[in-house]
Amino acid sequence: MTNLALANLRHHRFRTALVGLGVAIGVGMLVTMLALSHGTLGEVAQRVKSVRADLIVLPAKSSLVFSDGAPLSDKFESKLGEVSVDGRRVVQRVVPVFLGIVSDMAGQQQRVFGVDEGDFDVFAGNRRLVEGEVFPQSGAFKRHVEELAAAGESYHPDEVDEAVLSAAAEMIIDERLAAAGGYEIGDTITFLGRPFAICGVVEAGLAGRVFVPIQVIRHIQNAGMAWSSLFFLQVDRELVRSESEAGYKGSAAMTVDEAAALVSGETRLRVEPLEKYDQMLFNSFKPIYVYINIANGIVLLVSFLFIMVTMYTMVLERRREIGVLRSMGAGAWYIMGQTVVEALVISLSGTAAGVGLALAAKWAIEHYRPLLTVDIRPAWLVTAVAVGIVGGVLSALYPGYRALRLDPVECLTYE
Amino acid sequence: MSESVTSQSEIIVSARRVTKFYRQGSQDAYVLKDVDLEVRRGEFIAIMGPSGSGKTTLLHILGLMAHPSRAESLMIEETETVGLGQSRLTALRRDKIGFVFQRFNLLAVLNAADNVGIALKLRRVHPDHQVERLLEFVGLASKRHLKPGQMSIGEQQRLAFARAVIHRPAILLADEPTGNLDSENTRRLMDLMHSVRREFGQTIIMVTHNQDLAGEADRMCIMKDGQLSNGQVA
Repeated sequence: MTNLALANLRHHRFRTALVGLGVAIGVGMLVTMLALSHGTLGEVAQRVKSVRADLIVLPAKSSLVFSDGAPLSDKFESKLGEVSVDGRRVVQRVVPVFLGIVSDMAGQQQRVFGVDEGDFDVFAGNRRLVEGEVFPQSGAFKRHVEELAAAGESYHPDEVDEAVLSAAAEMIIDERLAAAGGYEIGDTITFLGRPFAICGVVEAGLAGRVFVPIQVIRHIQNAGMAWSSLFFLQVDRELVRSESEAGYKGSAAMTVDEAAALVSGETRLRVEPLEKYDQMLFNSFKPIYVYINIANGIVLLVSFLFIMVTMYTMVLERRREIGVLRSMGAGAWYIMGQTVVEALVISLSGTAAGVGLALAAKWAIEHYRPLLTVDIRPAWLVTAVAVGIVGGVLSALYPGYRALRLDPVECLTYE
Repeated sequence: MSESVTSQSEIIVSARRVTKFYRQGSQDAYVLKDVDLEVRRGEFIAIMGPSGSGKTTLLHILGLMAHPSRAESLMIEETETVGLGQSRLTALRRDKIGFVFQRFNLLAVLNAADNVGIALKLRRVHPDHQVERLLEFVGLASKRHLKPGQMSIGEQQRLAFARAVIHRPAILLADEPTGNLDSENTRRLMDLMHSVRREFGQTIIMVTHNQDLAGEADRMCIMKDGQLSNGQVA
């Protein structure tokens, strides 16, 4: 059975290759789209989760996908610090972040994290600075602004010493961005119309790839010194326990979820546990995945319809062969088996080629767009093979059924 | 049915009142009308008759490829086939019958050895050396790797013959097997048919237009207007 099926495929090698290519494109597209979307989103989620904080605070009803702008005033900052249970403060540290966007670094838009020099350790964690320093000039600008504020009744941006501001326009980038863009310490990047000098390169994996002093970005954005885009909170770990602490036997009064609900209730802001950020981020992208999966499903369906039409055409073309096989005593399973084996060979070869295409696409994307993450998971490859097998068998059933229904005597007289 | 038989067990094919017709509008167009035929084991029968007389249809029915519209009985090796299910008919055809066609009907995508070997594989028999031996017997040992399209007409028909007899069927049905052959290849094929019949005792039912070839059979039957004449010992 296999011999004849393979011989037939070899005999029609161009058509076989063409149909296999159709399947390969479908499977390759499916795996690549999944790997790219999950990889990129997963990488972002993991980076955000790397922040040494327990809760993330966003404006009420805002998306988990960070947007620039600074809608949160310092009143929230102090209010967050005051949330308490039985007279004990829940939040131990409030870390404000001012977000911005630099339009082109290494060929891609980059989210910029404006953070205080003293808060950088919250983002860096165990990751070390491989080169340079953490905002060496920003302290002077911070003091300068504080002095201006102390001298007057309020902060006047026009009074800022331009030389101090220019010196404080510093930037820390991660290694991956440095490698992708070929950036080195001392290089300047234009951000918000002002040159920022790269003062440090940190190991990759931080929430942002680009960090600038929060005071500088606030000043340039005319946001004053009091506005932030979001906050990260460190909670009192004796009061709040992590959800993931299996077998917890301590005396903490509440879980992180409960703490998030408490802080949210008292501030009317969106407060989410950071340890669930990836799960929540993926959930918030569910509708997009539905569209992606539908699009991929349609592509696969078309690929397998392509196989079915081809197998059907082959059955019609090979009526005489079917008649001969029937005359030799080939039974229904043999005739059906021929069609199924051929369709399976096409679909599995196409699937294998599709996986190859996806791996090639991963290499190309990561080579030419090194900041994108393509995460091809073994489970998806197994799924692709399963889809290939099921699709191959299903697409062969109707043509095989038609082959069985053919009158062998008529088949023998087919020209 | 005029041919007398001495023992029922010697009868390998027995057809009684086999009728075949097709609906054409409100009319039935008869191809076979109450055909009776008995063939003894090892007998060589030639069926002659004008084109459209129903010879090939009878052969297809005897080969269990087509169903009679009506039949009192159609016995193949003591098995009543009237009313049998498709799978039983297929199995019977696979085990007992071999076909040789005028147009060879070889599988173009397989080489000579595989064209013959597939007949054994269908019967779940491993070819071993049988294919080589048979190809040698029909003079095609050196062509075993060639595909039918690379062989001459005579070679193709000998290959088709090898495929039909590789599993040593009890009954060989040949539908104008020499219709496309020149005299030399016709002679060669007929000699092969006689040899396998001598060696394996096969029953041969051959449809032909060739009076001389029909003369080589044990018995000649004439088909005319869907009716089979008395078989005469040649």
